[in-house]
Amino acid sequence: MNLRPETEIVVTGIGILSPIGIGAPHFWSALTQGISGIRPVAGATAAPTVAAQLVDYVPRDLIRTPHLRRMDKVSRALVAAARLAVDDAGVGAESLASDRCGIVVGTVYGNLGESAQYFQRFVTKGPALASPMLFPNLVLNAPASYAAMELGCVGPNLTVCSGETSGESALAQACMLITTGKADIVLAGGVDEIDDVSLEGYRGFRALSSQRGGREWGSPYDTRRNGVVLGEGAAVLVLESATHARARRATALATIRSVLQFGVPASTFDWPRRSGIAATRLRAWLKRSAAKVGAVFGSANSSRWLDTFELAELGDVFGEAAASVALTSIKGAIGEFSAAGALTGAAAALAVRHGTIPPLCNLEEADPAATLSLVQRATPRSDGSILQLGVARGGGCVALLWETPT
Amino acid sequence: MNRRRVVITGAGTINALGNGVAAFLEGLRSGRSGIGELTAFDSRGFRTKYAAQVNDLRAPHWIPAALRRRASRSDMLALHATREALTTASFPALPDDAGIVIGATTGGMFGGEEYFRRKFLDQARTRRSNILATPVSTTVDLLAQLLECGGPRLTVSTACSSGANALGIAADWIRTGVTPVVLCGGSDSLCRMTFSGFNALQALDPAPCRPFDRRRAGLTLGEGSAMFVFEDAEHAAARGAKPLAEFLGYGISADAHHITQPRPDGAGAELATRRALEDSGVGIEEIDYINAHGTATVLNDVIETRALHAVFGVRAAKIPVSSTKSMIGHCLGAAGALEALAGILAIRESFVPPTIGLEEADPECDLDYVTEGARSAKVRSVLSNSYGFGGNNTCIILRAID
Repeated sequence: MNLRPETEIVVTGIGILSPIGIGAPHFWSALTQGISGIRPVAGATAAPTVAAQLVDYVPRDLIRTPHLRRMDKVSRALVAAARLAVDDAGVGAESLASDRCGIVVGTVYGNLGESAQYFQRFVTKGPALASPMLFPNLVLNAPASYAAMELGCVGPNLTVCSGETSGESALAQACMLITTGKADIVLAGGVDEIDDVSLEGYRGFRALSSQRGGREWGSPYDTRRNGVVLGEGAAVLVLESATHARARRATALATIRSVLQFGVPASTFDWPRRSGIAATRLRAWLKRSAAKVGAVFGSANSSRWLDTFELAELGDVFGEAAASVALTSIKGAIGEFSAAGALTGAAAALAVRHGTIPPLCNLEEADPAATLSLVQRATPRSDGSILQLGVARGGGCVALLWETPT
Repeated sequence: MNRRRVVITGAGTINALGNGVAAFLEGLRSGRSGIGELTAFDSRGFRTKYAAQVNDLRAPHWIPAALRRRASRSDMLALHATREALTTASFPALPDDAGIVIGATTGGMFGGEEYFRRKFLDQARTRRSNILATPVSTTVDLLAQLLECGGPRLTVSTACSSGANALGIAADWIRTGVTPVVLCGGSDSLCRMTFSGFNALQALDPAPCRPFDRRRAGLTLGEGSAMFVFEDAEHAAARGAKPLAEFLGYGISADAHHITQPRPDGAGAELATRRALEDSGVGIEEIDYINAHGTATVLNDVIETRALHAVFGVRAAKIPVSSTKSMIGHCLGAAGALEALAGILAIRESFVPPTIGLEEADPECDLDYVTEGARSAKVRSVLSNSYGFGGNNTCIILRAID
């Protein structure tokens, strides 16, 4: 193995299917205008009556092979996002088919929505009538495998899960494939949909917005936030070694300078509480990376506990300088789901590219615990890196440092 | 840059052959089958009543009562194997920055199914605890909480190659200096979803599975976990730990062919093998034993044989190849980890585990499958293959400590 620790990793293309638009340009335009994708759910009578559902798109426009017929909804979203990303990056079929091109997808629930459907048939009609057509699509790696088939990628192919940070973990693992020389180019991202299992999980914990009273809405870092609003979508980023990108004359949108994966104490099924450990880990890492952070893309999702944890730990990271650091979270626009970090990563890359930090959605009354500057409307990006922080229930954390390419 | 070496300082397992590495070793040595009648759930209506089940599985006593109630079947398997791995590694507690990475495919689905069964049969009382532990990433979070691990954590889910990939990722974390110690492995429990799914695909053999046999008619599902402590060699040496074996490297590829069927030309499997050899810096003449994926499906066994011929050429016929799935069943997300352990035991105990149940040779499967029972042999380097649904291929290489 030839380790390439000095390899610069750049983003050369982005594909997104989100509650606020299809494709990076629409997504970015809505995000910077502060448009939220949280909307009423048709026919819903109990929470969640609002959710950030993926907007309609025509899969046939983006998925060109006969595989489309066999794919489930989640796989289609991921494959469509991968196609958009590949087109955006201008990666040719030859590069894709090389064994130096990998795919890493983050998801937790995958196609679990259909597994409920599959299981209903099993329970009500008997095991012999379980569907052989449905079953193969229930494996968590189905989206990544379909993407490999659609694009012809025979390189490393991984599906990774780490709760609400699965999107960030996919980016981290993609960087690892490039650093360890296993790939020159990796399509990395994530996908998840709003399904019964994730819904019941959050509902069982009374973690959904309005379940403990108040109106149902998603408003990260707002004093009156009262729980999670679920979202769904897919994002794929084309990551390349800078050398590879230069060789094919691709434009680098942003650089991932460094990645930190760590854990903080938490109950397995709940958000972590402030311990100062995250702050210590982040501070040491930023110091090691000699990075000056100008803005933070947090993981706040309108949960009372997660947002509080994040505000406290970030406050500790930046101390006196906190007020000069901008803080935003895109989950008021796209809701919470395990692959949300892939969309946040895409937003961070676009922020680097366009020099703008998108605002928080639905922020009415800023949490007074915020010592960083909450972004109320799109603001110009100051010098310095963008810190993306992902936090999952159970205490898993992934942080990425985004910068302007050299 | 000086490459860090990755050694395995602890190992633990629970599977159909028994609880603990000693029972597993005894089973592999004597060619005992762990396959028996499925009792974890009702097997009526399926093609087969056989499974490689872990009997009398309970949550370990050393975890707090609240977590014992919530732990899924798959969590319990991982907890048992982890405890043993930490004991052999002589780690009373893992270092603060230790990482955890596990391969899994269905996580707490066994409990999730109970939740859905009640829900669909309109029984009002569904248990919240059944659904909470359903996500595959729960096992890692549970272990992190219990062991107070502050390092990176991840679950990798690439179907039947998950366990092998978890080991590869752990090695990468150590090699790149992310963390010096990683708890890694795989864990998967039997559940109705996979059982009925493979049943519907007609991939289950009505009889106990017969890898590489002409009459083979599919796999036998199993359950279990194997967990390891992977460690930077220098870190292990500094604390005086005695490594069991070295993790040399791995190769990973995608078929990009079909969601359930392997590529007929075996090109994906071949690529993963070549990359593993390259990553490990090992020549084909150095491999002493191959732990095959050997699921006993009609396609897999032929294609795997073909890929081994392509990579090893004339040497292929000289290397013993066995499928330990003939004894512990196909444990899906845990398979790659369990088979790595079989490889480590082969190295340490100087023997080659057999393929049992193989009586009538398939003309297209023409390698040395070790059918006569366990064979004494000096084993220095082992290749272990794992190929998954969706065309995910991973091969790992392990070596004796010099």
